[in-house]
Amino acid sequence: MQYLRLFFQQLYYSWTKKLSLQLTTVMVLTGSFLAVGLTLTALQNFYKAVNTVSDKFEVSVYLEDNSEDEKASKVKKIIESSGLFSEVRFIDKEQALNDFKTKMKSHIPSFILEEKEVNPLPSSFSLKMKKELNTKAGFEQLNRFASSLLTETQVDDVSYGQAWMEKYASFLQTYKTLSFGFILFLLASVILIIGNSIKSSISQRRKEIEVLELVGATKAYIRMPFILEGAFLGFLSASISILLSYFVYVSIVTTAKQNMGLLAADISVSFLNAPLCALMCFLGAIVGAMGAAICIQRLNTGWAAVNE
Amino acid sequence: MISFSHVYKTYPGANHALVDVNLNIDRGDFIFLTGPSGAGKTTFFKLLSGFDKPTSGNIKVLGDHVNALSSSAIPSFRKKIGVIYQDFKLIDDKSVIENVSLPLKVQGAKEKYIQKRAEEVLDQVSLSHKHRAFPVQLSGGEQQRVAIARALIHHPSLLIADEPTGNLDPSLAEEIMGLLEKVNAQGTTVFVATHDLEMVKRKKKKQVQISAGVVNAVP
Ligand SMILES: Nc1ncnc2c1ncn2[C@@H]1O[C@H](COP(=O)(O)OP(=O)(O)OP(=O)(O)O)[C@@H](O)[C@H]1O
Ligand SMILES: [Mg+2]
Repeated sequence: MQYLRLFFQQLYYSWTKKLSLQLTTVMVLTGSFLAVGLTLTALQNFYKAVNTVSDKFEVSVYLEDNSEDEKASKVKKIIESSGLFSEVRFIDKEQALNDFKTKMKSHIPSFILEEKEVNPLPSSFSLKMKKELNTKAGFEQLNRFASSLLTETQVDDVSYGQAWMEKYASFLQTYKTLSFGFILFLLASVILIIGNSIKSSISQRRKEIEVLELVGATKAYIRMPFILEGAFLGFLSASISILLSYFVYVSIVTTAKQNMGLLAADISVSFLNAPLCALMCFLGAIVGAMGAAICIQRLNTGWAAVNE
Repeated sequence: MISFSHVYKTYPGANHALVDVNLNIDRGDFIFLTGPSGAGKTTFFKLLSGFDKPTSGNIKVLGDHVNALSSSAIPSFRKKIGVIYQDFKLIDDKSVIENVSLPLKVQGAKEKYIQKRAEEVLDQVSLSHKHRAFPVQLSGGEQQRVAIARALIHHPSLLIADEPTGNLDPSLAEEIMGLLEKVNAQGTTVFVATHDLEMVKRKKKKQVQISAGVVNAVP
């Protein structure tokens, strides 16, 4: 309670006596947090995309045209024992043809396949990959399995958009690493900026700090207002940056939808979810307090003369 | 209550401000510290109040080993003493009453009690009418009296006053000395540095003389 009062007093000092410096600090900090927020938003959406895509993602194992039922069930056993898939579905020639017809009809209503022709479609297994395998390592596993499956005589082809999924997975991996590095870098600079702002608050009140010390103020009494000020700076900037990044997000999405038309309709994106927003504000406060704590370590030893 | 044993203070540049100080002061004493300018009076008080550390030797005040206090133990020591600094050490952007209230504020005393005590001590130094003023709006003598009020507000067991009447006219100086004597009569040990030898003679109190860093108790 006492610290809260001291903190408000400190805030009052800072925002009246060095307003322009405070504003500059908040602006720079907001910029940094904005970059953090947008990076996280992008990351969140990339992950979301992976999940959406992988829901639809199927691996098809096409069998040789003349393969016998018994051999097909051997392939099925191999697939099931691999442990990579959550769903294994057999599609025989007839069904494949039916599926093909309905699909074509929905796209080109006038399309009619001549009944008498031979069914050119092979029978196949349609597999769904386990969710937890949506990683780079998972895809490598899938690749290995696919090539081993191809050596089976009755397997004609295995298809799953290998190249694309693999690239996406490794892009995601790289993006994640880079963005965490970038965020760490930003947070480090945020700590420095807040530290400097607190340093200027301290030098502004140096004489007062000495007097406080001499009348018996504890370390906490002297330091707490500065730590709270640092936390406040971080929290404030993080909050403003969330508002700003929401506007940036909305305008990007709106332009994208207008320009990409149908393509965009299928992609669902979202802003940072509430827990992540809260986390960012909290992180802002923590980082701010850290910045302040670091720069006040040598603030007062209790021995006023020794400080000078 | 106060004991110095083999205390030395040497400032950088082999400036020996205090040399082998040995001294014992009893609880409840009223002592004058006299000596020419530059003799080491302020230095002596700085060591006594835990403002600075001696180069060597031991200082015991109110049961605390002042020279060996950890930084976390210093605040509680400072709460037991009241110091009137030669340069006052007032906070410029706090009003008179805020300055005076500080020792109780940092102790977390009740607002009501702080208010009451602040008014009392300001009245004792005849400054009640200036309680809203800021230090820059006060004369040297008025600032000095604010510093005195601040040193008294928390009922310290030991009052250290570095030339508390240096900026005051004779009648005000007499009034302040009277106040310090009253505080002493209530049980506070009072240690006053002064150049005013006339007054020292008149008051017939114990006297400690310091000359070029060498301390002697006057019998
Ligand atoms: N911070 C310091 N650094 C270096 N030398 C100092 C310092 N403070 C005091 N001195 C020296 O120590 C000696 C004693 O100074 P001190 O201030 O204790 O004298 P004083 O008796 O209080 O004098 P005055 O009556 O003028 O106030 C002086 O020679 C002074 O130059
Ligand atoms: Mg002096």
